[in-house]
Amino acid sequence: MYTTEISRGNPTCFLFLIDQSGSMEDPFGGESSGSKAQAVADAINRLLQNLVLRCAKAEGIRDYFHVGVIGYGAKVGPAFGGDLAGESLVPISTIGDRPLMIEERMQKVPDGAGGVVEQVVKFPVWFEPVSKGPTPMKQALKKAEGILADWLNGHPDCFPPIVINISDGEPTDGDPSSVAESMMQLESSDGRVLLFNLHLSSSKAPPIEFPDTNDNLPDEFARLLYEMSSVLPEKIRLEAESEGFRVSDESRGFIFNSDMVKVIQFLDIGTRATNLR
Amino acid sequence: MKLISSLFTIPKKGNQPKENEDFFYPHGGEIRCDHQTIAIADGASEGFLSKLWSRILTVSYVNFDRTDLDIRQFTDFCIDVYENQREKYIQRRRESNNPLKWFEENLMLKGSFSTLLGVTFFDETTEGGSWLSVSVGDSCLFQLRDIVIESFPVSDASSFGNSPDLISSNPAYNQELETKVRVKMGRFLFGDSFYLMTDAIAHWFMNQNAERGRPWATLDELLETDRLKDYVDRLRGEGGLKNDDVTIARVKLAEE
Repeated sequence: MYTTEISRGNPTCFLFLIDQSGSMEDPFGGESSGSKAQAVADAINRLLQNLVLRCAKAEGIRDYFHVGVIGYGAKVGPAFGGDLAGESLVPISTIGDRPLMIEERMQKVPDGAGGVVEQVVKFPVWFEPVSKGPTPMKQALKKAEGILADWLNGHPDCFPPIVINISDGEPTDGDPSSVAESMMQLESSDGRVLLFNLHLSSSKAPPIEFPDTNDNLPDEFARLLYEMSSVLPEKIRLEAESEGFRVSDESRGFIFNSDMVKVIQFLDIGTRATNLR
Repeated sequence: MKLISSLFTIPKKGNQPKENEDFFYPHGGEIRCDHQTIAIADGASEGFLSKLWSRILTVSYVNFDRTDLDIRQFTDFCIDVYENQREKYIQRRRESNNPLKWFEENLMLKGSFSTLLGVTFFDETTEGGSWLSVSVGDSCLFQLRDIVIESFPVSDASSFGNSPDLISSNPAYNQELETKVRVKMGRFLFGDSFYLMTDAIAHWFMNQNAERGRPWATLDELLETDRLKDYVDRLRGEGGLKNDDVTIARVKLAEE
């Protein structure tokens, strides 16, 4: 299971659920300053950028992935703006070609002599911070289930779709666990849908990556998101291990106040440059 | 000595031939010489203009023609050539009103990545001579004399993965290059064959050899009857071969 090759002929699907509720206005407890809404926008923009870069070649972007983003807050539904507004799933090449804007940011890179230098890189922006309304996570998961069911009808043999939920874990429409469980029952011939949770909290507790127990999680919201996260499939777990993460057979796709981008690097779509680690 | 080389290369299933990022140099044929170098490289999927980089590495390796290769000096030379070619590419894109997009600019900042495997044969006696091979990454050399008598630099099929050592076109990512270089010397007899392969097919070859399957005989027959492409397609379909670019260079050494 979870071994099907991801290719243009047999792409898979990434669905991001982003919390755009009023509580996201509160300060983020992690490394960067600003609100949780800013942290969500940065996270989704970085995830999309990395998905595009993994598929990009000099001749264009290869459609290994179809990607959707569902926002939940004042309303629940597809969250892309501009030309992509209203779209549930979009080929990654289209996303790469149509960011809302392209900023320039400084990035620290190796200088080749053991130090680091700052370099200007393009930072495409598809999402700006939004924080309004309640947190209908349950509705968002229900919406995701429908989109994934349609996708799987058309792609029954794909690498199982991956859902990444980015939230502060404070749903206002009831316990989402049963809806999450129902969505995770959907499957391709290669395995069930994977649900990973990126918990961006106001708590100053230290970051946690791929835990295998809820013992050390800082609060009930973290425990809720941990409980509804998939156990990492073996192939992804081994990649995580080779990247230096401390993981076990029971590690789950749950990250607290840190970075989910590495998950994209763990997917096998060709030879990776270890030099870039 | 007489060196007869045959080359086979096909892209990953689902890709176009122009998307094949492996490269081999020089091209197949028969030559007579007192020493000769050949090289193979596997450009990484992750990178900008990987095919260009694998081509520059192989052609430069063959043209460097040095027994005391300084990997740092060699890589610096290749990077100069690459940067020159890359600038021309960017210029062409600009002139055709198709400038680099944001993702290409970000990829370009990281650079290109490739394995490299080179081998030089020296004609020394009436029976044969010596060879010297230099490698970064998991492209493999096999020496055949009825059986596999050398497997370099990978000798264990379980060592193959998705993250081999690579040479980068960006000096910032070559910090530990010297530690990634493997060098091997050996002797050959006229009549020996050498196979240079990129990782997917080398992995298959090693597994078959471990099971006493004489994979070189299979490859020889298929190469000579032009049926290797069908065989590779079949292996991929059966799951016996990872779907990746496949390149095989076979070199037969004979007395002149």
